[in-house]
Amino acid sequence: MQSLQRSDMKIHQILPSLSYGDAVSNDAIEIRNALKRMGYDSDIFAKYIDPKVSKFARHLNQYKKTANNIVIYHFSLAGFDVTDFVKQLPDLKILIYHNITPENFFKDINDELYYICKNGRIELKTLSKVVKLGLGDSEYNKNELDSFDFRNTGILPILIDFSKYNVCPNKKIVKKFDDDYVNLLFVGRISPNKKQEDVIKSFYYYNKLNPKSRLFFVGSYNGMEKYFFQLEKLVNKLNLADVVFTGKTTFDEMIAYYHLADIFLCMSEHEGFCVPLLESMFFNIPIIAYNSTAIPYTLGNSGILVKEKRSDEIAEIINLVINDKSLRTRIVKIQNERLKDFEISKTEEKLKNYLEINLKNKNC
Amino acid sequence: MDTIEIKDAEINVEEIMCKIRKNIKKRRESGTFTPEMDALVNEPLQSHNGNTEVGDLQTELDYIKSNCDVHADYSIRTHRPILGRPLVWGRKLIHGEVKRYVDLIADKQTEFNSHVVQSLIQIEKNEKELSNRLDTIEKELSNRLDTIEKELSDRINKNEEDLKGKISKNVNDKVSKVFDLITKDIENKVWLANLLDRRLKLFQQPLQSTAKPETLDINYFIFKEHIGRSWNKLSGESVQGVPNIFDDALNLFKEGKNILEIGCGEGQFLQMLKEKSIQGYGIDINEDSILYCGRKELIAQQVDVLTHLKSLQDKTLDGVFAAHVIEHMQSYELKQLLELCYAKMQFGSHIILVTPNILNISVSSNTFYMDPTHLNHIHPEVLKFLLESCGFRDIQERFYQPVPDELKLKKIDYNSNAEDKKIHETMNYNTDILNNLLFGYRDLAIIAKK
Repeated sequence: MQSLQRSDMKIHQILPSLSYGDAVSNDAIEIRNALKRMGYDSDIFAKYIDPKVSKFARHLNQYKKTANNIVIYHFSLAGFDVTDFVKQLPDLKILIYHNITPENFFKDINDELYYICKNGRIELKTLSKVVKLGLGDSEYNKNELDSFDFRNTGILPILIDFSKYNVCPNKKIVKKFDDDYVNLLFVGRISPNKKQEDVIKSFYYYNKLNPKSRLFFVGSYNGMEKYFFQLEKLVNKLNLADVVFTGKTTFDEMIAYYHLADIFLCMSEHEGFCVPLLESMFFNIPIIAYNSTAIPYTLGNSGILVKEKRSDEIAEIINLVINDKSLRTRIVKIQNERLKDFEISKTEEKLKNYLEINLKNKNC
Repeated sequence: MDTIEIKDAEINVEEIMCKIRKNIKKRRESGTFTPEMDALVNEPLQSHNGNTEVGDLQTELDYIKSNCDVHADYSIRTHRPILGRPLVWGRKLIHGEVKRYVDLIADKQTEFNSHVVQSLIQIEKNEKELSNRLDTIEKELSNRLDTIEKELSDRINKNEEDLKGKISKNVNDKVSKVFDLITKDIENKVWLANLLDRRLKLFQQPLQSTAKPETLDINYFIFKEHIGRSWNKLSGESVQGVPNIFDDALNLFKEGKNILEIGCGEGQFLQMLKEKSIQGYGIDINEDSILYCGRKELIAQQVDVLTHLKSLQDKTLDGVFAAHVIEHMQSYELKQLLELCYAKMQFGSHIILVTPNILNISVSSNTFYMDPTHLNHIHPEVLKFLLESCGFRDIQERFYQPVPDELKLKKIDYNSNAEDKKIHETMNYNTDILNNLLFGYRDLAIIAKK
């Protein structure tokens, strides 16, 4: 009965844009895979689709609405007509909220993004009465949904299939940087909310302690050229030779940087989940991260949380973690334990539970 | 507050923080971490918001450099899973065709932009060179200024020290000179006191004089010492700040090389001549006076005036000064003195004769007689006549030694509106006449030119 019900039931996902390599798109693809494993007919519908991931998605205008279906709407930016489209659907609606970066971070950097982010929260409010279930991918996001009067909320962490990370790292990159340098790493698009300048400042002090050190920024700076330019100016001003901005990378290139890294340093002041923290946990890289937004929820009891941005002290902490093997081992161990909480089977189970509860309520 | 938080009971965060802070302290002490580093990282990010601001040239140049290539990459993608591939292929084909034409313009624009960038880079380079040169010049100037300042300071200090040394030496020399003079004066005074003491003792002995009865044999030194106190009581002390005969005489004799002082006494005027580097000498009949002048290294000889004048060659004296001498002489002796002076003086030289002012009744009737060696009242008109008779010209009389006001008759203070104003005016007018008559100048001098 249950399986029949599932085969009739379609659970689709909608998002404005399905891109290659970004956390929300990856989450949607993994949920699609999980739903299929659960026996549901599931597709992703998007207005814009990157050809690299086009096999996972269909255009939004192909969506067939029906009250029997469930639609999961991924919300991380204002969707405008996509949101309007979702709102008028008769399907049972579930929102997965990935959080919206406060628009002020983009002031004078990217006017379009400023506008989209500003409208994002306005749209979010209008969805509170429309969706049956609001899921935050972190407790931080769930709390925000609660503050927007969503009636039924829960937490569904981002689904990550770490088996895919066991790929061969890009050999060229590994070869290029395979030396006795200490490598600090931050993964994430170049964006003012991620405060890459504070990472550079801490590295500046650490570089004085250990001139054989390097800093990698792995992430695209498309649309953030002005901010990227500011960061380059800072690097030049501080006369730092070993700061590498990789720009957008392929997956195996990103894996290579994780393989090279000794410390993951994150000074971000706004994260809805921060997937690179889990990736660092997976690659046994000690994490030093600023205590903001979703970061403490994702880290749980693991990693080193920075409560105050004192570049000199952070540099000393880096130095300590690099040189104190027992401390490093202990931190990595706790991180590994924390990573277990995000095993795909566990998250999948959570998703399953949420769906079943809501299906019951729907049938009732 | 700890900067970090590690939620693990096995890790002691406090201990870690303590270690970290200790390390930072060491780094700061050793100069690994510096305040300049803190200042650098605390500066705000340099933004590029599209607005050109003054002083933002470097930012603009960097922006232009990184954006001079106008070729744009366009990512062709599709959401259609099956039709996607041919669609992308088709679009790429069209895109390629269009790009052939657009690229011509883009190439030209990029080439133009490259030239602009090269020019700007050259300008920037020149600007940097100029700026560096300016910095070098500024530094050099600053260094030179510092050197000059140091040199000046050293010189000033050296000069100050030299000056202090010189001033100190001059002051010491002057003080030493004054002390020498005072010492010498004291020695002279001691010598004089001893001499007077000896003379007084002789004076107090019973008179066994061998001198002729028609001459008055008194010691003039002792007499002056004795009579001086009474004289001051009657005449009052000298009034300061009024013309005195010595200043006038020094002025008249300033070019002289051979000035004669008749009756030089203790050499007061000779001393003044010496200090002004005016050559002169004195004569006196008093032996003690001559001895005293000798002690003061003044040129003086004991000789009778007429005898001395007769011994001189004619027209050899550049001036003659005789204070309180002529009233001690008989009229014929005075006439002979004036004639001899005229004969011995050079043409154009001056003679100055000072005598008690007998126009002042208190002098002529009182103080004149306090010297028993005074023989005659000398009326200024008589003296002028005698001088004129001898051939002297430009004869003028001057009065010296005024009586202090407190010894004079007092005038009445009155209100100018008072009814008895006229009486008071008359009384005060009369008082002035009486004061002139009774308490006029005590000395008169007749100055004449040969």
